[in-house]
Amino acid sequence: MNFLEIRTILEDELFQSSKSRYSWFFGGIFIFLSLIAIKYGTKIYTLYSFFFLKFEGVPYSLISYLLVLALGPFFVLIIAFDSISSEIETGSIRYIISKVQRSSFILGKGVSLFLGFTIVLSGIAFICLIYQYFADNAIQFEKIFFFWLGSLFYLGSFISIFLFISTLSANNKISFVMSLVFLGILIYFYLQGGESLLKYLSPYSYGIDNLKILKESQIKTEFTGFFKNLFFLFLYTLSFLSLSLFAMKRRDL
Amino acid sequence: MKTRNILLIGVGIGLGLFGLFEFFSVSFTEGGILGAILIGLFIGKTIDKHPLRYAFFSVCVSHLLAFTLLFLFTEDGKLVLQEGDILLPFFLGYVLLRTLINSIIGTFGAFVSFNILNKQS
Repeated sequence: MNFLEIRTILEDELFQSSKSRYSWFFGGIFIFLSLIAIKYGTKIYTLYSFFFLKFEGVPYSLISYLLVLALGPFFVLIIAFDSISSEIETGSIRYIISKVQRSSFILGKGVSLFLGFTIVLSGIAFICLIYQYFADNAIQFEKIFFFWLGSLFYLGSFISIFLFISTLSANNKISFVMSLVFLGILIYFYLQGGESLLKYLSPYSYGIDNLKILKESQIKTEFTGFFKNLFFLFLYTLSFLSLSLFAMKRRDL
Repeated sequence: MKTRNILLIGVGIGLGLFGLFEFFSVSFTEGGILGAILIGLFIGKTIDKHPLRYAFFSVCVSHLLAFTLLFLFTEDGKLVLQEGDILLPFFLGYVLLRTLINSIIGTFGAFVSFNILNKQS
């Protein structure tokens, strides 16, 4: 692992590669969808007010977090599924790994995706702040920060999952199908719910559990559960990134 | 080893695990998923060509066989067969759905193990 190599891959992924344009495009769509959700948040708030009873004012951060929970994994899938498999399919990976280490290549790709989504989530958080300011709500930096942190760890786990599947796949088609299949398996695991241990294997479980901290009023806020969930999501990310590194080192390219 | 033999071994492992989970009263959902993953990992590691379709087939056959044996040789299964009208289609649907989902999970297990553990990949 070499930090200079990781930085080179990261800069190439974010600003120079042909794929970066459409990644930014989808990131922009994500922010736009969030803007629409926030704009019509007041309507949602009136319709489902029983859900937001404990919240003071319109819960912009909660609405944005619900959007991230539902659509975030699909956006990550669209952007990340071909990040490595396209290089394997075209054969360009051979030129890259002759100059940089395999681990730097994977980490560079992972960090670039992570950074891209950090920028997108920061944009959404900023929009939430602006709306809170103009709606005469009390600006709740804590809620916005929890939204940003929770979403980042939640999407980070999905980035590592799709990166791992992309590393295993020989072409984009296989990678896309397998990513969809695995997303379906994770949703199925979560839906088992209740007493079943399977739901703890899915990042959905931790992400949805984090809703509590955005729903609760500031007086009752429980931080332990939130940070416990973040820790498990971090473990999830770490294990799938390690698996990606292991798979990449074993592959005959 | 021939692919046919590995398929049989896969089905055998599936049946053995199913019996074991039944003995230890592990739920069908968790036991079935664990069994499917293990069969998928084994087939992906052993078979060099088309491991995904063989894993799917193997998990499918082992689950259908296990559920058939369960229906024929247990008291609960006999009860379902005797009740007929309403219960039977419901349980058939349940068995087919569970078999399909577990087969997909097994296929994913085979995909992972084929690309990581199999030298031919």
